[in-house]
Amino acid sequence: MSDDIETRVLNRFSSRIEQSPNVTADTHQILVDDLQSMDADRTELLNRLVEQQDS
Amino acid sequence: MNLVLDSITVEGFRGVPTEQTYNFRGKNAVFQGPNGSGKSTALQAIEFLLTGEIQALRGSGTGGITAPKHIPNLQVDPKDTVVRGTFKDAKGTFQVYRRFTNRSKIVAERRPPVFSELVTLANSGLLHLTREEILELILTTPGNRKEQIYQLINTGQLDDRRLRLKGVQRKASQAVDHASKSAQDSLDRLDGIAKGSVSLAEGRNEQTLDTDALLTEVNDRRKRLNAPPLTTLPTNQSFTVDVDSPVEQASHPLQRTDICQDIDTLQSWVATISDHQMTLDHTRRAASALQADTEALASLSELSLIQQGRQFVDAETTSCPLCDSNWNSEELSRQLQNKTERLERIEQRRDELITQTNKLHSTASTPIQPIQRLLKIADTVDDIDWTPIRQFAGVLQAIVGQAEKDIIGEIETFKIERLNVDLESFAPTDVLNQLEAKANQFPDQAELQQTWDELTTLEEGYSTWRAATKEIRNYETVEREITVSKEEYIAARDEILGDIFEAVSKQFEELYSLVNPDETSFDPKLGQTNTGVKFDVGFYDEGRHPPRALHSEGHQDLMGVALFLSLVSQFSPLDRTPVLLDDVLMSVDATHRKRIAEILASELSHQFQFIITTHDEIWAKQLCDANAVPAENKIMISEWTPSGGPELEGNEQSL
Repeated sequence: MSDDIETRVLNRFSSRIEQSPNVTADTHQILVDDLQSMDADRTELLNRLVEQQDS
Repeated sequence: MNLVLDSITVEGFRGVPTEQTYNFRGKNAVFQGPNGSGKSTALQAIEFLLTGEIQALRGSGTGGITAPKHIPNLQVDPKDTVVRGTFKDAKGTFQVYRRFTNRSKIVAERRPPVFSELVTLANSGLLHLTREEILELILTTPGNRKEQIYQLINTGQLDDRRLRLKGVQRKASQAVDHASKSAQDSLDRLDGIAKGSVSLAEGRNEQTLDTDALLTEVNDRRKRLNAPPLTTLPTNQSFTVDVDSPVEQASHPLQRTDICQDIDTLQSWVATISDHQMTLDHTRRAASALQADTEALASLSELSLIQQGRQFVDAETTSCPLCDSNWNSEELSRQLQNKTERLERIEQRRDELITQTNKLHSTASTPIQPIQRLLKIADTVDDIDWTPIRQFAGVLQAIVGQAEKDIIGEIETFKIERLNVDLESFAPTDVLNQLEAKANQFPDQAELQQTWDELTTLEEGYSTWRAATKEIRNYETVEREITVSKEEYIAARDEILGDIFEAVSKQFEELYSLVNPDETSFDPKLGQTNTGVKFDVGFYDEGRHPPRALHSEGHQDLMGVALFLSLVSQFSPLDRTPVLLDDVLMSVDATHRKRIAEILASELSHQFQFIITTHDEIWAKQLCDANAVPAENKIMISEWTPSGGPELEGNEQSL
């Protein structure tokens, strides 16, 4: 039951930022993966987002 | 998915010391009895069976209450505390139980998916409604309501994810500030060397460096270090590319400090050469004079004898005490006086010559060591004619050699002609001037080092500035993207929850209107805000208000039950969901309760299996009269005793 709400919000979120011109595809993928797993600390997530700016 | 609760058996639990069974037969039931008779304990037993917890023993206001102390009956061994249940699904009945001593584990004869769904609902709180929970749903602040509803509908980590995005956004912003400060610091350092010429602006702006001005400053240093100019600021190589280091550039001997000092010492000596010539001439003349009177010099040895003999010649002595020859004392005294005076003059001339020779030695020695050091670099400075220097050194060494001799002892053989030298004619003035001019062509090593240091500091500052501005760009981009993403996440959450709340609000309105069909413009709205869950209702065309503003306590209780049932209905996959209502409609008047009983029977009993508690005989009777509860499921508790627990009337339930 809880998975339904969380999954629905995540899917909706993914769909919205996918259409946003202000969020790149790489950032979109990193954020969706991160919010699903929630396994990295915030600094690690930030570093991941910055690193992909260089790549 | 069909599942109903058939019965529970309670033993050693809360106020029930010995085994007691309550039969529901898969239908609605009502516990009726006075306050403190153990009605709520029966509902807590069902909650414990499904969750292992009792919500009423947790949260605020329950300090000092602990599960080990207050779940088992005080008179029994906690090992004997157990709640058993019998459920019925499409395949028949099955038993489950939970012991207090292993309360994290429910033991089931079998575990159909529908039972697991019921356990999930129970753990979310969508099982057991008390008066306290009504307050938290209806009469609380949006923030507290959000906590309560989020728990009931089990939103999981919705808020954690929003806070995570917010936290990363803040960290990105802090990183931009940090990189901006680093960029500004590097600009300040560059400006410190370039005297303010390279900074265009200050603040949170990456384009503050005038790279053309910086290139000019760099090439100025490179020129001073005898290196070609750069056409652009290099990003992959050093500002010092093709520049010899100060150590390498200061390798010419004429840049050595000691050599420069030697040149200076010799120039100073030559500048006062007439004084040195006088010393030489004076010495030569004194030696010459003494050499001309060598007999007098030899007679100096008599001086001491004469000085001693004079004491024996006086008016009273008329003869020599050694040979007894007579003498004329007066004449003899006069002769000795003259002789003494002559010898003392010779002695004075001798002492003056010694002093003068020492002075000459010192004077002529002074330039010799500087000259010797200069001659050591002659091979590397081969565009200078060193002959005058060498000749000058030979002349000085000859003079010093003469001055070092025992001039008094060797006065007869002393070669005075060797002191007959015209120093001026040997002075290497031109060579010294050439050496000085050549040394002055080279830059000072300290200046070279300072220029080199400035160049490397410009390079370091530029490198730091570039790295910092790159960080600013990256972090600003991330900050923008995260800001957008956070807003999109909130929007997604609000859309999903909005749909859910709209459905709940609609069902809530239907349930509430069943009891109060005459209340117009009720139109309840449950909605997500930034900080909580807002809940307001209409009131007879008098606008929208919070539920507690204009509605009576009975209406508020009814709203609480209706909202709770709407949430259960929305999230339960069961065809018929067990719901425990613990004394929740006591502020509702008898007329409305009769209506509620009828609705429970006609409209809701196919969706919910209600287990209700009340101390009110009328309400229990109304439930039975309306067929909301079968007569056999009216569980009457007459009293409670510590040793016997709840005493059931007629005792038919415990069969």
